[in-house]
Amino acid sequence: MDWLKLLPLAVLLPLFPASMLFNWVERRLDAPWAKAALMLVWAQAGIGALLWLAPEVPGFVSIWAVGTALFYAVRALVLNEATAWAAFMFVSLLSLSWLLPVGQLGLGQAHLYMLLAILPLLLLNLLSGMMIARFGSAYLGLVGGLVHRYPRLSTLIALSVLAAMATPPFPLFFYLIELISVLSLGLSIGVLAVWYLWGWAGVRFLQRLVLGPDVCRGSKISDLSRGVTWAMVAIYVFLGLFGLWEAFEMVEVG
Amino acid sequence: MRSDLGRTLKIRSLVYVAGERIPYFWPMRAFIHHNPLHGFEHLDFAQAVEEGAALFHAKGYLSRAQYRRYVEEGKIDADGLRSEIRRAIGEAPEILGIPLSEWALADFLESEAPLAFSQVSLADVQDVAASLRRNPMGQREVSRGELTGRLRSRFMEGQPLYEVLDALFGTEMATELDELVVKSCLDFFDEGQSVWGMPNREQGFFDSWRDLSLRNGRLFLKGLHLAEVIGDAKTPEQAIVHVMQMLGIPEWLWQEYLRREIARLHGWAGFIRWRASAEHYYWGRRYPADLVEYVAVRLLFAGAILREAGRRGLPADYPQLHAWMESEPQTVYLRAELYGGTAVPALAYPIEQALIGRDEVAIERHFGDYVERKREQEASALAHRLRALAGHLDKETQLAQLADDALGRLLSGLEQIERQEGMVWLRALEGCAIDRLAQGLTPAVAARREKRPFAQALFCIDTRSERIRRQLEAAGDYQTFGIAGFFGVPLSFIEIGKGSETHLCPVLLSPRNLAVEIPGFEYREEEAVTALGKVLHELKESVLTPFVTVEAVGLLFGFDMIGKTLFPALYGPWRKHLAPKRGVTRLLVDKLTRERADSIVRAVQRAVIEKAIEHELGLRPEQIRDDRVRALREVAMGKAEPDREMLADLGLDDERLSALIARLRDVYRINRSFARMQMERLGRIGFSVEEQAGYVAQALRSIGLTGGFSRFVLLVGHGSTSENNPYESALDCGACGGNHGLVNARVLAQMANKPQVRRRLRQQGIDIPDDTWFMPALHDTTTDEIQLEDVDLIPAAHLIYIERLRTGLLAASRLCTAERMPTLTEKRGASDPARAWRIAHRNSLDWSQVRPEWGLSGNAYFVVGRRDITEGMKLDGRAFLHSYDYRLDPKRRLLENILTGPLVVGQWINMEHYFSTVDNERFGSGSKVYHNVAGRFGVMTGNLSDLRTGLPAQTVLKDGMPYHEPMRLITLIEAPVEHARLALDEVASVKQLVHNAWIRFLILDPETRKLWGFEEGEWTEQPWPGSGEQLDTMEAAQP
Amino acid sequence: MKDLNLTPIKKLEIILDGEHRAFATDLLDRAGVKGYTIINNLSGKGSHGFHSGHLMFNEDDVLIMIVVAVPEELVEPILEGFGPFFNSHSGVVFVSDIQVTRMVKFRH
Repeated sequence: MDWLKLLPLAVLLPLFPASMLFNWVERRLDAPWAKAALMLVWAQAGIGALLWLAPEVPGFVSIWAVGTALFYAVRALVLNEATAWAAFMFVSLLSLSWLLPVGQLGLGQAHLYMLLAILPLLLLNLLSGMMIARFGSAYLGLVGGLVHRYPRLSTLIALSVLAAMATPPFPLFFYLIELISVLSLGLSIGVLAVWYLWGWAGVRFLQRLVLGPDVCRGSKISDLSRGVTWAMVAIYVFLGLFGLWEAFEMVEVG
Repeated sequence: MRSDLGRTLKIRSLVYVAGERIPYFWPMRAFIHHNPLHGFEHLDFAQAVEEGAALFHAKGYLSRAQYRRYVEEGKIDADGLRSEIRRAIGEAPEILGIPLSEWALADFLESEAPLAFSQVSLADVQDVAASLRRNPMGQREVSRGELTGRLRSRFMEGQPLYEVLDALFGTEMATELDELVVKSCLDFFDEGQSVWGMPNREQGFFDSWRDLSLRNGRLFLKGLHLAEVIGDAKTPEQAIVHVMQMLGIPEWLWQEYLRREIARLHGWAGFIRWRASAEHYYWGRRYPADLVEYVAVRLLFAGAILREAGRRGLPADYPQLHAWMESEPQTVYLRAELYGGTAVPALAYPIEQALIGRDEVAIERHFGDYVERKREQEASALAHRLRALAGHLDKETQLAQLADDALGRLLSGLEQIERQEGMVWLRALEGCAIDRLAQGLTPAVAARREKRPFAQALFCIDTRSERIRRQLEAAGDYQTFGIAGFFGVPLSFIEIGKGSETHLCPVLLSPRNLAVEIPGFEYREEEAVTALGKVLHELKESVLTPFVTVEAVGLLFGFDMIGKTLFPALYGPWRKHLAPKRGVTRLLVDKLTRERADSIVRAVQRAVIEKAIEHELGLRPEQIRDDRVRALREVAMGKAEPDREMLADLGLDDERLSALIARLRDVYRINRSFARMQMERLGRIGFSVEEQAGYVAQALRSIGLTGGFSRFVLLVGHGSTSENNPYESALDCGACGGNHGLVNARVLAQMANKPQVRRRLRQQGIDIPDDTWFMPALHDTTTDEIQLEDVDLIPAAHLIYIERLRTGLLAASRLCTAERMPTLTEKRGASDPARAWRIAHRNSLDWSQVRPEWGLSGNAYFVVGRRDITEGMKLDGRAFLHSYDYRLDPKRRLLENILTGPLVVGQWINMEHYFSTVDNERFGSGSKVYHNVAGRFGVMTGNLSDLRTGLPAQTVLKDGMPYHEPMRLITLIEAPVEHARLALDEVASVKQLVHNAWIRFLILDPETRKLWGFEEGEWTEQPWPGSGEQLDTMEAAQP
Repeated sequence: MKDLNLTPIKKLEIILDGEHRAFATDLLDRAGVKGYTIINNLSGKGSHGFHSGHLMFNEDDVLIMIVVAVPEELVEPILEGFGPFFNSHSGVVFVSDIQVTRMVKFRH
């Protein structure tokens, strides 16, 4: 077994307990945009390292990866703070990279797919930053029922969470489908369980943050500006189109 | 043994006292407007609102933004507001050269948001000063003792334990408990809405519930082991004691604890309270339940939920909570902040992590930091708002240089005035309304009429009558009067075809007389069409129906639905044709003589025996002879021995004969005692001639109509028409117990037209001319139509005038709708009489219309006096008008009757509207759109909720903003001051209302031409343009 | 004169607002008293000021007095039962010693 290759990868593509390092660094950073940048860098480094080192992945490591993903997804279920939620979902997602069929991926392609997969979480962090700027925190007990007064913010948060939950037409959905199709039965059941937990966590998150009773106290706080809204919507439209294109590819090939 | 009895009695007493603050909830079939804070009327209004709002977690006044809108709309003026503020503050110093009242006025009128002192828990004057001067804050420790004290007063003074745990752990036990209790209540109190009923309800609420719960598997699976909690408690009192002891609640807290428990679902509690006290309520007698049983069920559920929480590790009883608070106050404080939603935002997440990790060191560190940050946050927020306020007064820069003690005075002064903000605004609003009323009053003593009016009409004092009375007076030579809608005649009524009595009188009274409706000349039996209607309706309620009838009968319903929804104006009248036409009926108002009553009983018995013979012996009607029936009747009544021969040809032997007689006696109730009861019942029917004369005389005297009678005296009762409206009864006449007033009108008319009655009245000094005819009518308040009734009884000589009367009434009606429709709809042309008429009719037929009329919304005034003082004044349907002439009432009895009856009803209506407007979610019933009928007597919001009390949003709000102006009832009595004051002294209930400021009381003295008002325990003179004297300012008042 | 058999017993005189009549009589019924007498339209003076006993439109606002004779062992439970009520309402309970001739009417 290639310990030399596996250990650094265990940090970059987090396997528990090495995943705690990422979380520790993430907690140290205060500004959400910084957290987003950290996620971006970490993920790209991780996927790049995976392809470059291209180790033999023993069976128990795959199982451990799925286990890590499950663990973090379960913890995301009970989290109450938006940036922490994004971080845990990130770890859960990233640890599934261990299951990728490394040999079949091109480098550029892999970086692009990784970017598209984590893009919703990055945007969620940015949105959390906007929430903190307006309400002082992105904590679900103090900020809730956004849909009543902040339709733009609510829409974008909803889009981000839905994309992070890997719903179609966003590309992550199709990536996961493809992944499951090449995995063994046991591992695919594991991945499906992770996916299920993502859905659950996402809906709970949306329920309290966007729907639910109107908790925010501020009366004259403004919603997102039109420019920002349109920019983000454009990103999601692009993502959606990209996902659909992926779907076509899949149908053609498979 | 004895101590158990003492304990049981004590529990009953505790529950009784605890439930007193909860107002009754009457079944909505007869909606009664009532004061939601009726249980607080022994307190002063301001204090009552404060305590009531705290108990029911509600607001007692509108928000500042809404009052400001009134300022913009001209309903409150700034000067009035200023004087109210000055009155509330009293003597106050100047700060920075500006009186405190000006600071407060600027705060009320110009600040973006209130200073909200109630949200400041830690910061003090020095902190605020530091923040103003942009200095760093001083250090301050929060001692352990102080912290524990705060926590104790917030959580350990009688709050239900699950509420405390919810506040500290973010659980939802309170909601879960409420849902379980509501479900049990729905099961037990159902009045025929569900097809499968709860078993063994006759045993009573507690016993039948207990039976079921001991076997409820679903609850057991949820972890609620009710059997353990119930233990061997057999009675509800034992159960209550058991649970309270299990939870370790100290006995001195039991009263407060029970009070709050009951207040949580105040709709259901109010219903149970009413039901237990209603002696004649059928469902209450059949399935008895009282408040003690309700509390027992609630506490047992709560006990089970808390036990389960305890198993999960939460401190689920009082001693544990107390100990925890004493030992870890910092943890508790932080938890309260976090789950109460008041945490400093930036620290929320770290605190949550520390609490979850139960890291004591981290918690202590976080605590110190948290308190610092919170103080700073509060101080800077307050400083910011204070600076903005000073900015409105151009004193912003000088604010920072203010000395600490001056700043302290400013802050405490503003805090004090903001605590009273609601009352100040309310008084300002009322002050303007009083001014408007005073401006419009004209001194009475109109000139004597040369000839009598064409017609006189008596309307209910209901506010909706004001418009039509005005229009009618303008339409011709009509004179109108206001009288309580039941016309002073409390009666019990049995409608034709119905088997039960309805009480047509205010709920405060119990009627002693019964009136019965009997078929008139042309009355037809109900035909086949209604049989179909009945079958369809029953089909709707069967469980199997959906599976079978959709294909077969569904099309009919679809047709109906399309018609009702898309073309209500066309379809409605056509559909009414399908229902059988109600024929002419008569009312039995005179007392039956003994002979008549006896022959009625005999006739009924004969009919029953005939049916019995047909049923029991299978004989056909033509085989049953009269004399056989009579013989059987005599035997069953024990008046004769069986005549064997005559009955032998019925084919009966001895045995079968005795069996038949026994059945006649027991099952068909042909027996002596039942006959006696029937005679007693029949004896209740009707009024004696003396009684009739008494009621007519009292009614006429109370409105001041004892002479100058016209040819027509109309008695106009009112009712409303709407479709698909559970609140239908709320729009009907409150004085008639939530029914329409036509029956009372018919009864009084019949009495007043009777020659014997008129003879007696003449002896008493009320001379009604022979050509005066009393005629009943119904004013439909949704369409404003006035329908004349009993037209076939009109004497021939009057018929030539009917056309003129009808035209006048129609004109008045149409003009009235033209005035009203623009308030209901924004449609163009709504103020055109023809269009308005059509719109009003459509409203009454449209089953999707959530607001068929505004009803009593907007009520503000109650005027008792001669019509002359308000004649010509446009009151926009906002006034209760009761006619009264003090010159005919030397002993003040009539005025006392008006005060104790109609005025109290008016106050109930006013308070109902007030509280439903200021907090529609807690005191009102929310939006009609989400209402679901529960058990046929109330509504819930959504699937499962408390019984909604009060008025729905559509009745008092418009587009989310208040339509009804919430004010206390402004009552004006037109009579000499001493006369009115003495009458008031005699009526203890109204005197209490006046002294505790639940109503604003004014007296207009027509002899000295002065207007007096009751303020803070004293009578002070109010400015009145009609007084002919100059009063310089509002302050020139003499006691 | 025949010997009258007099038995000592306790008398309770309960004065309260007529509004609470149903509650008071229900409590006494549950305590097991065999009968009571109600005197209506009382007037009097208490810590709340003078109360005139005028019968009004609604029959609630008058003071009443309930007189009931009970065996000694019922006195304490009944007083305990009325305790919470009189903590928040005006009224009094007087307990006195009396004698009755037909004891069977008052005891179970």
